Amino acid sequence: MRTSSVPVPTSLALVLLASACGVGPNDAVCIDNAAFFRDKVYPEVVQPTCMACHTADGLARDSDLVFVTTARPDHEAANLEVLAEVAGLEREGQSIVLRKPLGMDQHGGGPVLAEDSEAYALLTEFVSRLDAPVVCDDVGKVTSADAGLKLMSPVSTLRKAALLATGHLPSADQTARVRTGGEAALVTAVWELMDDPAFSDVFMERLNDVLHTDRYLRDNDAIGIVDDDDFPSLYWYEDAGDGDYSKARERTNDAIAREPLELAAWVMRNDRPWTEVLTADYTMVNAYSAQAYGIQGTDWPSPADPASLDFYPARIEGFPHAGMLTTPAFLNRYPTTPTNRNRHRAWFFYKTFLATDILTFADRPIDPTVSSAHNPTANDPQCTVCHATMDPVAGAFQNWDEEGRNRPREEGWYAEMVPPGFGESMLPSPERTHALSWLAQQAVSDPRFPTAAVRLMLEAYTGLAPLTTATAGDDAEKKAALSLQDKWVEEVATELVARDHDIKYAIERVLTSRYFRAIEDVSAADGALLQAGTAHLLTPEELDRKITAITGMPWRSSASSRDLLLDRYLMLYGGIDSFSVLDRLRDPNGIMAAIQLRMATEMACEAIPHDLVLDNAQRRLMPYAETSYEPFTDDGFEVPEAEAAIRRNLQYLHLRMLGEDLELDSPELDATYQLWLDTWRAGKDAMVAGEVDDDLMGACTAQNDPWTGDSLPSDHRVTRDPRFTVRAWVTVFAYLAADWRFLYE
Amino acid sequence: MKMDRRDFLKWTAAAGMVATAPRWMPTARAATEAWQGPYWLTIHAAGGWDPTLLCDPKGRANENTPDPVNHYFTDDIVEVGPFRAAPVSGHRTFLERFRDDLLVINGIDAQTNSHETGTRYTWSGSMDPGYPALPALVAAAEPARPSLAYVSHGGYDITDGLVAPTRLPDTSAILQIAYPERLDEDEPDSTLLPESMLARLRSARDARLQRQIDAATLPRVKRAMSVLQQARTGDNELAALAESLPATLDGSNNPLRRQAQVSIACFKAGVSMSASLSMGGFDTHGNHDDSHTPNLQRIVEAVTYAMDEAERAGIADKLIIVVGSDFARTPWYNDTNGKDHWSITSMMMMGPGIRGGRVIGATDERQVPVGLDAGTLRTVSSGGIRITPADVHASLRQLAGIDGKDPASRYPVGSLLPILG
Repeated sequence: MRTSSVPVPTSLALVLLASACGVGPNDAVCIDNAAFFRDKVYPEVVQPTCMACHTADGLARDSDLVFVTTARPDHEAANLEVLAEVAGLEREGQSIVLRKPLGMDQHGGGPVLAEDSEAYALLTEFVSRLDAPVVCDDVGKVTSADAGLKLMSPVSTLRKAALLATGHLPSADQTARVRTGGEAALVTAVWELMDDPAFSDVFMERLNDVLHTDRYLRDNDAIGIVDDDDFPSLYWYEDAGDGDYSKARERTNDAIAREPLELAAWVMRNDRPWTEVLTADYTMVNAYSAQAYGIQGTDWPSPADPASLDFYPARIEGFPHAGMLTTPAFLNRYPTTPTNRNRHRAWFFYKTFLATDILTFADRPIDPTVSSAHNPTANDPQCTVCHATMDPVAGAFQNWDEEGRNRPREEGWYAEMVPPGFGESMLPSPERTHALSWLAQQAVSDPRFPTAAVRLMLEAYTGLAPLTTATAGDDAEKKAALSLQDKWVEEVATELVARDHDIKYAIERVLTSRYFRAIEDVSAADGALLQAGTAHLLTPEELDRKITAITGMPWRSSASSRDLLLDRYLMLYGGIDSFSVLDRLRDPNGIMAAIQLRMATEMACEAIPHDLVLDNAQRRLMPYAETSYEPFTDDGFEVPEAEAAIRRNLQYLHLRMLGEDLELDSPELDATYQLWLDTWRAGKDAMVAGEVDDDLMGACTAQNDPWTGDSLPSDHRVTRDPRFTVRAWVTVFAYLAADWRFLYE
Repeated sequence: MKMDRRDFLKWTAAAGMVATAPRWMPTARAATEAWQGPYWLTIHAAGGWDPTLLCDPKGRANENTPDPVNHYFTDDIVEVGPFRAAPVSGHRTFLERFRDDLLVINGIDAQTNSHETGTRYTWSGSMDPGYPALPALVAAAEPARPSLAYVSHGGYDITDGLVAPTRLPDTSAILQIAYPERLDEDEPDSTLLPESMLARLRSARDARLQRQIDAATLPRVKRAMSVLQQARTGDNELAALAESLPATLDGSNNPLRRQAQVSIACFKAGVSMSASLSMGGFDTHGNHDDSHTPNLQRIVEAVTYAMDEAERAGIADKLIIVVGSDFARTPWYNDTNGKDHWSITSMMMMGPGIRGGRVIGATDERQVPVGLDAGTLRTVSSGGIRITPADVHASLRQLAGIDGKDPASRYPVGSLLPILG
């Protein structure tokens, strides 16, 4: 029995968490107290009713009941503990947790729950459970690494990781080592992948899906977002000479546009602490942007020199660097206005770097028409729910104007706004000129920062948006999945900090996790299935890289044109332009399906003949078969050696194109061989009947180098198909290139 | 033989997918002709529009009016039938043309000043994340939907995995991909293989995908495979679309015109059921009138243009248009002559099933909602209800015939009020 104003011992809350059990995961009878809080009380009472004020940034921050947001790794345990503690305080024989929401005891927020509401009933049950904790036996099952899922083999994982993260197939040596060395060798190989320069390129592409600073690439005028009053040598390329002007301008533009992403890649590549993406007292330039920024001691770039494109860290004299926050690309991509006053920047800052979407605080009805508060963003609880958190950070951006220039307001920051700061810390006056540097230091010390980093990498390499705060409408599966995800993120984030924020560690964990590798449901834990499985439709960029990696040639309409998936079909295939279209399509529509089929048709036509012109040792698609191999003679006699070679090559194609390791007598290989055989037979019959001839259609011949367009030597051309075997192989390629396993990873 | 929609339905029904499909599983399609309507077109004014510059005018009495809602004068407000509009070029013509068709709902309480939440609420009927946009839900609810059922030009286009959205930023490639097996899109005989062999290839491909679906044990994988399978059932629809698309698309400075043009072409071809259009430029925290007014004119112009296109396509009598925004702008100007966020907004709509020539809901001189009788939606002197986006969606779902049915029933919205007449 509790007594008035005597708190429940902290140990009780811990007991609730520490319950252990033997009831199966699907047993609906037993819901222990921790699960009850996680699945019921938090999403249906705390989140919608209390979190608006009872947080460290909220109006009730000075009360005994202060919850932490879900961005904090240990939020489930922390929030259960604080509610359990406060529930132990009683007045007139009743827990204050059951009194305050009704408006009693001078609750600052007034009445927020009706006594006959479901939410109040849940709260009542929560309090009664404190006296009689429900203990189950299944706690702990969900924390197992694979959560009851079968994972793809280390070799398959390496292939997938290499294709997705570098756009290359793993080397034979890497594959052999992983085949022998298993999981440990896989981890080693993943770290090798991260040293591949292509890994950095893909890394930046993934980050751009969040930052969208690539909107300034190419013709989109990154130069125009820099002020030549601040950087008088901005237009240095005008003196570069007619021959080099265009190239120098373009490279200067792209270097400025890529500054934030190059910083992130530099930090990753060089094992620098991920915190430097915010705290770096330098930026990233190449020879072109160094000239534009007037950085002393840099050489005039030579467009003919590839090294002139290399990025390196540099400081701009007198510039208050704060990682990517102070780059023109970032500040202009997230601009402000005189009345927005950096709030948009603050929202993005919290969302991206602290895993906290302030706008979700406002996912509840407000009514500004009845507000009588003076300066409502500072005084009306309807507004302060967001603004109390957002405005201090907005104030920390105070030195950066609408155009991303360092222009502190002469009259100082707006006095009517919540003072600049972060959380409960106010910006110290001496730090004002370097307010963003100060903010960055505060943020990277916050436990939400590593959480955000892990979530960012999870999304970047799985294409799977991490689950966010549970809401009352969520079903049990999502709640369980969220709990699983939070536990995993917490574990990785904790270790990430211990490893001095080496982001490669988080990437390694993602690429070896069940989120990346699950292939089969064995006895999945509750919620484990929601985010499990290789169901990631390749983006246009990923599919483009995969085509080249597999076939050795790009999908283009001509040698001199751009890759079709990066140009003509980029947006139709669900890509983004980082400007007006920011979200990728994750499911194919009818148009995307048609693009897949056209790709399969055209690449089959191009790739098989071009592979046949190569020596066997150089072939990527046809190392084990020749066009002269026919499984039957013209008289109908079997040629077992030819069939064996064809099957061997089909087996190879399944592995190379699909990552599918089939036995020679497997039903799937039989099916593919049957397609080859039926096509060949039908073609032979059609040739006899005079319905088709020996010549391949022009688009299905190999007469020119696919990269340069140069004519191939006459003895290295494939233009005819007298046995119809080329077309049989082309058919099989078209079959495999439109396969699920080719289009998804 | 290539799998058609009827085959698709047969195997999914045989597999029990229709009866037991979980929330994320795409619904199987039945064999059908080209979609014959109705067609849904939503137009989103992104950033939070100002109804007082459009369909809920306030104005100011004279130049000395303190803290006015608008800079124009009350005497200049346009009146056409039951409608009143701000004195902006084009508004009168618009109202005169659609005076019998248009329904204006004023005083809608969006209950938020957050762009993200407001946009979601306006177009899904709920503040909860994950709710599908109305046009997505309309498409998803139709088992016989075509493969490009829902076309998105931006704005709020969340589908919650119910239906794959289609983007058509560039229609010039449609002809080429409409015939994916031709090496020369203009030449029917330029296929990779003779038709009989192509049929064998298609059959093998479809059979393998079916085997993969049958073998999959992970729900996400099974679902994604099913979506791919469904997307592949509509080749002929692309050919129809290619024929329906105009040779040249609108090149004006009003992006909504082009979006409407493409959407109507999709409707005409019978390959789409719904489309969401979107245009930004309404978040005018500074220099409000000059920035905001031209964009509102573009909205009005786009509605007119869409109806013109629909009439040319012969589908105007089946077209439902709904226009809205995140929320509204403050009934006062800030220090930079801009307007900030205000939660009391308006929507406009017309189409079959919507009784036009009406204005329901009202706001007072400071754009605060006047209470309404829930039974009649007439204003009452005290108390009363406010219409919310959730209520609007309850009515629109009823109009679409999807209320109370799966999948709409998984996403409950507001009360059914006599909004549509």
